[in-house]
Amino acid sequence: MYALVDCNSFYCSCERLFRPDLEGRPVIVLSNNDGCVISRNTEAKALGVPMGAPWFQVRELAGRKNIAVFSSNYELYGDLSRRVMSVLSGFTPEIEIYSIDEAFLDLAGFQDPWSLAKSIQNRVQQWTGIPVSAGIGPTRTLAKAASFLAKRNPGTGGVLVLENREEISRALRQMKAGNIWGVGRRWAAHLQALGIHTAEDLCRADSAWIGRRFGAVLERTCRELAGVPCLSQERQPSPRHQIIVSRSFGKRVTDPAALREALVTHTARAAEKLRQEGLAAQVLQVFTQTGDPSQHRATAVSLPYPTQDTRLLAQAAVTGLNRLYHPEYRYRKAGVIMLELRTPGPVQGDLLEGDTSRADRERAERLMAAMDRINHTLGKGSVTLASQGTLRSAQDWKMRRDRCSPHFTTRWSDLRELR
Amino acid sequence: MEICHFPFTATSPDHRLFQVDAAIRLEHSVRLPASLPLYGCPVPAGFPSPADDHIEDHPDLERLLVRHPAATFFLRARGEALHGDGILSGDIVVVDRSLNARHDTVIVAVFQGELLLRRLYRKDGHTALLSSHPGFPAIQIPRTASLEIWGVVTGIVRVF
Repeated sequence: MYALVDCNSFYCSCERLFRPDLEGRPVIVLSNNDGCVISRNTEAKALGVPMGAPWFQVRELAGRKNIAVFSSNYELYGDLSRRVMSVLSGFTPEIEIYSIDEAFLDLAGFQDPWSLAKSIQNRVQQWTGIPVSAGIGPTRTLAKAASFLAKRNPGTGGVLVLENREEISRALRQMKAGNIWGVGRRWAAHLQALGIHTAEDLCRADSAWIGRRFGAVLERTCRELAGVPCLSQERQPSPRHQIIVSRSFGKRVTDPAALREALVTHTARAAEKLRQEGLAAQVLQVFTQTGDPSQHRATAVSLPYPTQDTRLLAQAAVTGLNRLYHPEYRYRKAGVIMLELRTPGPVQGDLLEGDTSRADRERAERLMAAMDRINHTLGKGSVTLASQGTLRSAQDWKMRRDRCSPHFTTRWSDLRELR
Repeated sequence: MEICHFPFTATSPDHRLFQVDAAIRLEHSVRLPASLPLYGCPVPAGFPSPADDHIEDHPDLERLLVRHPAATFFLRARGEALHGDGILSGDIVVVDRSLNARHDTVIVAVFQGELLLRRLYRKDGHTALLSSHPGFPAIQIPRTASLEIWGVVTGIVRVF
């Protein structure tokens, strides 16, 4: 059995932790540069604030309904994310961080998944103040589906276990095929045309036939729905709006150069994924896991503009690593998460940049495209960045974050005050 | 951290060494090296500890103060409500959310949307938030209301 543990309205919950006065008030969090809504709590959802809505469109409603509005504070979210992950890994070492606010747990060997999920929920809430829900099923895809339903049905108390065939069928009948993990909007429309509406329809479809029509990815989804695990961490679909690349080290790593190299390699891979999907990242989060004592650490680095340039992203990754690295620890895992993904629209003029910047960026785009082509033809890793030691240590770029809460957990000057 | 067990308690009559053993076991359960670095390996006839390189490093304050890293937060006292307990305005307050608040411990409580630093009174069905400064009267929590506790205070840090 697998569990997917997912933080509820994660960014809003982080803001709420240090602001008990916000109890019962609608809260939203805006993307970097105060662009659009990226997190809403239950109260804000009830007011009909759409996810992804540009800030200028909801500004009036926010004023009228007394919505608490925050710029994204990734320092805070990153810190709380690693705390949540750290609590989860206290239950089992078999944990895969799936995104900044979700993780899969392999429950092999646990007797009573429901009670376990309840204690996970209680402990994460008590220790970190973050409410989570959990979906449990025989495969990752079913765990994801269970979590989807757990979140939307208050009656479940945020925990749903799909164990036997009947439970699974009953649950999948309530879900549209398009809401299944890894089924994109385009596929959902195709499936609909073929008479496959609900997730249960997809589950009952002949997986080989699905495979011939849609390819191996959807075939795997189909088999996973039928209870056959066939996704590995490598193969699973990317979280929406995030790209995460991480790897456990074969043995514990203490050498900072080796750590940096690994991280830059992950970053290069993530940048390639960005370019494949035609997306650019505005924020890069670096995370590490150590053994004995086991510690999760994470930090977020803002980029000057949404980018898919491996070099810029690698610099940011190194900046992040420099913040996290401690010579005393033995590292067992490191990774990067690309956040705030968007299509790299026309480049905005930036007061701080010279006239050359636009030409530079166009050159960078061509360079990256060439790099991908070569790596595609000659094999992965044919062209990589030169020795990472030559990268200038990048500074954190200044973002417009007018409504940013203090960095409560990462800066001495910003500690929450007590009366 | 690798924890090594040595027969300190068996071979040495030195009372302090009992504490070393206790500290080591403490760390096993809660990862708190407590006073470890101060002792090193003073057993005269003993063998050198392979852990000594590590121990002699430096007394790590963070490890002393933070028993549950995932659940421990630093906040700052503003106000003199616990003046009588030696907590002054400006002190950094170490708060562990993993602990359950007991009667007569210092806690951070949520009260009317504010975070308050107070001593918890919880006895015979009565709950109250006490201060140790005449300017802050006790706050009685009615039986019908539930008190939200943010965390338990495990230490303070004051930098002059």
